[in-house]
Amino acid sequence: MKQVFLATMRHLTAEQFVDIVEGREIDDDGTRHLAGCAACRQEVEALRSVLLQANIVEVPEPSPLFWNHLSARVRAAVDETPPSRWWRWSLARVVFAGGAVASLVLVLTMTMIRRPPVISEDAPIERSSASGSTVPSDQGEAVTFDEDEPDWAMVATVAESFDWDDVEAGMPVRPGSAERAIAQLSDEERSELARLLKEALGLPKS
Amino acid sequence: MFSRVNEFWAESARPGWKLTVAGTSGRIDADSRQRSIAALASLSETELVDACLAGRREAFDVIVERHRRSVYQLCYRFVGNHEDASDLSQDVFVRAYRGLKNFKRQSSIGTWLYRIGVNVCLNRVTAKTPLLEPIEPERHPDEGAADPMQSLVQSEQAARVRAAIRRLPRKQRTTLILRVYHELPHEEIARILGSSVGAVKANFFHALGNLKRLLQSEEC
Repeated sequence: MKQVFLATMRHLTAEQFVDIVEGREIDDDGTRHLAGCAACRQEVEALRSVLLQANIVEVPEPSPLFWNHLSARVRAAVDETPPSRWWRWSLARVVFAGGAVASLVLVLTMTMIRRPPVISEDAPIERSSASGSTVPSDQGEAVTFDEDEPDWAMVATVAESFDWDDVEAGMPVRPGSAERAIAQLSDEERSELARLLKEALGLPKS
Repeated sequence: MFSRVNEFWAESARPGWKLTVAGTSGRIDADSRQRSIAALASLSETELVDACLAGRREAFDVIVERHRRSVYQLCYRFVGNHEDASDLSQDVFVRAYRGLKNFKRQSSIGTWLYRIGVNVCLNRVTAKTPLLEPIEPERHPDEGAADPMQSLVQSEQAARVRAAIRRLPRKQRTTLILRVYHELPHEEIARILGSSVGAVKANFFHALGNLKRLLQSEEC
C-alpha cells in the first residue's frame, strides 16, 4: 500500500513523458500517477503543443534541377579528392623504409669494396730521418717501423709479394708461393727463419 | 555479392577508359555512365559499397542519388539556408566517400550518412555563428494557400520555431531534428549520437521543454 502511494506520488520521468507524447504506453504506476497528477498532465499537454508547433516547420523544396546539380558537384569534388591521409602516411612510411634500406645497402657495399691503397713495387719506401721506414697506411697515417729489425724486414719483404685480390678473397696461398718466397731469402734470412720456426715450434736449437 | 558487382564491372567503366571485354574494345562515353548508373540502381546498399570499394565510382553516384534529399534536409535544418545546406551536403558526401573503407556495416548507410551529417553540421554551426533567420515569407510564398494572411502568419511562426531550435544545446537540437523531422527511432538516434536510448529520450524531453520556454519568451 505504501509502495503504491509512493509510486503515485513520484512525478513521471523524462522517458515516460516522451513515451506518452509519442503515443506509447507506460507502466501501470506511471498511468496511475498521471491520472492523479494535474502538473504532469499539464506538462504532457505543453509538450504535445510544442511538438505540434515544431512540426509546422518545413524545409523549402529546392529547384528540381538542384538535385542533379548537387550530384554533379559531389562527383566533381570526389574526383578531385586527394589521397587520404592514411594513404599518404603509408606512402611516406614506405619511402622512408626504402630509403633506409638503400642507405644500409650503400654503406655495406662501400665497406666491402673498400680496399687498402695498393703499394706499387716501384714506389719508393719513404725513409724516416732516423733509421726507420715510413709506409702510408689506408687511413693516411704513416706507420713507422725499424728496418734494422730483421723480423720487420722479413715481414715487409713477404708482404710486398701479396696480391690484394688474394687478400680480399680470404688470403688463399697460391701453390708454390711459399717456396718462391723462401727461395728469394738470403742465407742469413733463411737461417733466421729457421731459428724463428724452431723457436715457435719448441724444437731444440741446432 | 561480388559476382554481381563484377558483372556490372564488365558492363561499364569510367568514361574515357578503353574497355576490353571478351576480345572487344570500345570507348566508353557519357551515355554508358548513365547506363552503368541505371544498372547499379538495382543493387542493395551493401553491394553498392562493395562496388565503390572495388573501384566503381558510379556506385557512389547511386548512393548520392538515394540519400541526397535526406542529407540536404538535415543540413538545412541545422543552418537554415539553401546555400550553406548545399555546401554542407556536398561536404557530407565527400567525407563519406573518403571514409567508405571505414564503414563498418553495423548500421545502414543512411544512418552512417546522418552521423557524418550531424558532425559536419555541428562543426560548421560552431565555427560560424548562426545568423538569426530573417523572416522573408515572400521568398517561399504558399501559392496554394486560401488565405495569404494565414500563410504569412504561419511563415512567421515557422521562422520563430527555426530560430528557437537553433538556440538549443547541440545534443538537444540534434535529437529534436532527427526525431521530429527525420522521424528516426530513438535507437537509431542513439547509434548516431553514440549514446543510450534513455539519454536520447531525456535529450528529447529537455529539447521540447527548452523550445517551449524559448517560444514563450519570444511571445512576451
